[in-house]
Amino acid sequence: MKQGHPEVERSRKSRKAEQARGVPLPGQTDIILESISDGVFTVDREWRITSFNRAAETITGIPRGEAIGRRCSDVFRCSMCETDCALRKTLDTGTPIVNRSAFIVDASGHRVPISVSTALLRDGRGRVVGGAETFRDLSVVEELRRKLEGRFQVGDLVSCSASMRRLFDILPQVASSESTVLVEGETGTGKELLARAIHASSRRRSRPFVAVNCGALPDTLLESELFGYRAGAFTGATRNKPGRFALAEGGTIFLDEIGEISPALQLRLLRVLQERTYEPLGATTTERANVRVIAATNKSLAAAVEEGAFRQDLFYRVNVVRLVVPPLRERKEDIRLLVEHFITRLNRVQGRNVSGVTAETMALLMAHDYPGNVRELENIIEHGFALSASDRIEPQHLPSALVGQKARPMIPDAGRDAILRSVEGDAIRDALERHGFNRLAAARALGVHKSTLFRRIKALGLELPASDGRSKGSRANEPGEL
Amino acid sequence: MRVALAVWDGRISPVFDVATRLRLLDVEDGLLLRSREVPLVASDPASRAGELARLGVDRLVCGAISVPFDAALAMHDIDVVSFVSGNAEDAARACVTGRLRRERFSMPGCGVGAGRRFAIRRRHRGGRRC
Repeated sequence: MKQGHPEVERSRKSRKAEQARGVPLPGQTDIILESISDGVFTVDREWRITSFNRAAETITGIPRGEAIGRRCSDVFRCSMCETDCALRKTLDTGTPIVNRSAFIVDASGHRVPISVSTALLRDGRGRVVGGAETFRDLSVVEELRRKLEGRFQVGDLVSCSASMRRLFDILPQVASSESTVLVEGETGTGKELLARAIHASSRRRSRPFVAVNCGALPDTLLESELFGYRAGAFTGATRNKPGRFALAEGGTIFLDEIGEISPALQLRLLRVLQERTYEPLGATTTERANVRVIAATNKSLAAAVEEGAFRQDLFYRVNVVRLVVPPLRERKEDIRLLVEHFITRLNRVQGRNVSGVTAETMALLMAHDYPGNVRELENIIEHGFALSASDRIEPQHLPSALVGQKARPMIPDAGRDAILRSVEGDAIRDALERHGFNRLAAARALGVHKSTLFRRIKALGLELPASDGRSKGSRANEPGEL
Repeated sequence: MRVALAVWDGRISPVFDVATRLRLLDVEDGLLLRSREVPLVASDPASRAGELARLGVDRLVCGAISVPFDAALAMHDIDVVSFVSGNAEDAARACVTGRLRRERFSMPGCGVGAGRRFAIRRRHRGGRRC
């Protein structure tokens, strides 16, 4: 039998040996890459895409032909590209990255959550010639996770509490109804976020959303701000200026702190709501207002009406649909979710990888009453995030007022550990009381497994009622339960 | 007209949602009057749009942008030329001379007939267009 060139023969024998061991041939590798559901692409040292598998096409929506040869960041469009590129880190350090979370933006402007892993590509001599990135579409996983956690998100509002769920459930009807809405809630509870969520779900969503803080401006300025003015209306009015109602035309106007406006302005606002018209200052003609009004207050408007501080007829016009956002201290089960939400956002913005808060930190956060509500919690987390150099936020990273406030007076000389044990005990007792001493419900509210709760109750020596607060008909105690 | 380009490493930033710098161009009648770079600090859609509004931006040129950010910019009457890619200097020059609509600046998968991409959403008219 005639033999081929020695090099070719050696190569052929080597390939046969590899096949015998199950190593795929080059063509088979392509077949494998084309058959998997994870996106895979490779880049050269110039960051140009050199290969792009079928799943990468599907997840990104970009055909292979348009991806090959283009800059990786222009094709992948990932949240990590600019500040925390996983592949760049791998090429710099030689260390692969596994399962880093991020998102990409597809051509329709939708964010697709993904997890990313990386590897180096080397030539036959071991020199690095590029990198490979594998990414998995986590959309379905994220959806399932939200459902499992009982977590709801509308716009930027996140919650797992029953009271907020009731709000989210009726939001679509409220949004589509066009009715004037009054949102009541303490400062920092997310009234504007709720108003934006209503607007974003309404048929006016492609038109403007204009927010006005009625409590921030004196009456004279507020009037011109809302209704605008014509040139010459007053000294300094050298040109026409549209008011907020004009800027919101076709869309939604959000009147925050509506309880702060003067009686005279209340009368003007009443006319806008009754007749859907208004006059800019100094105008001789009437303008039509095709604007949906969402008002908000952190006081009781009904009480203000009784005191004579707010017009009753305006109250009836504004109070068509009344939504009440509960304060954070009445839905502490949302604290864990909100902490996770804020840390995820801060990680994304600052390119860090803080994984969360320690158990002691969470105990402190759960024990606080949040007069400033969600905004206060956000500030606290941002404070802790800034001071934390490690991957978790610890108690010493929190504002000092938060730690000091909860020290029990009966332990005046307590060291840090004793104070934290005391705070943790307060948080556990508080959760149990709010849930009728139902250990499972309290554990869920605190964001821990029930066995962890039992261990902490035992370690802290807390004394609890014998009954566990579950409904009648269930067994009083399961084995191992306190 | 003041045009902002979201920039990174000498190129148009690939994702506006997380972009960290803007190049601001003051353009009038095809002439560049002033150019400077500023950081972009805010993170959520409303704050980011508010920051651009406070900078006096009339038009934003950027890479990929997600729907909430685009909607927030619309509320501030800021035009958006999105899904743009390429060298920032070239894009800025094209912007000043009104030639940014060329295919060479569109992101992959975002050409003509590909749907929303390379979208130019105009809320008002004024100054020379990119």
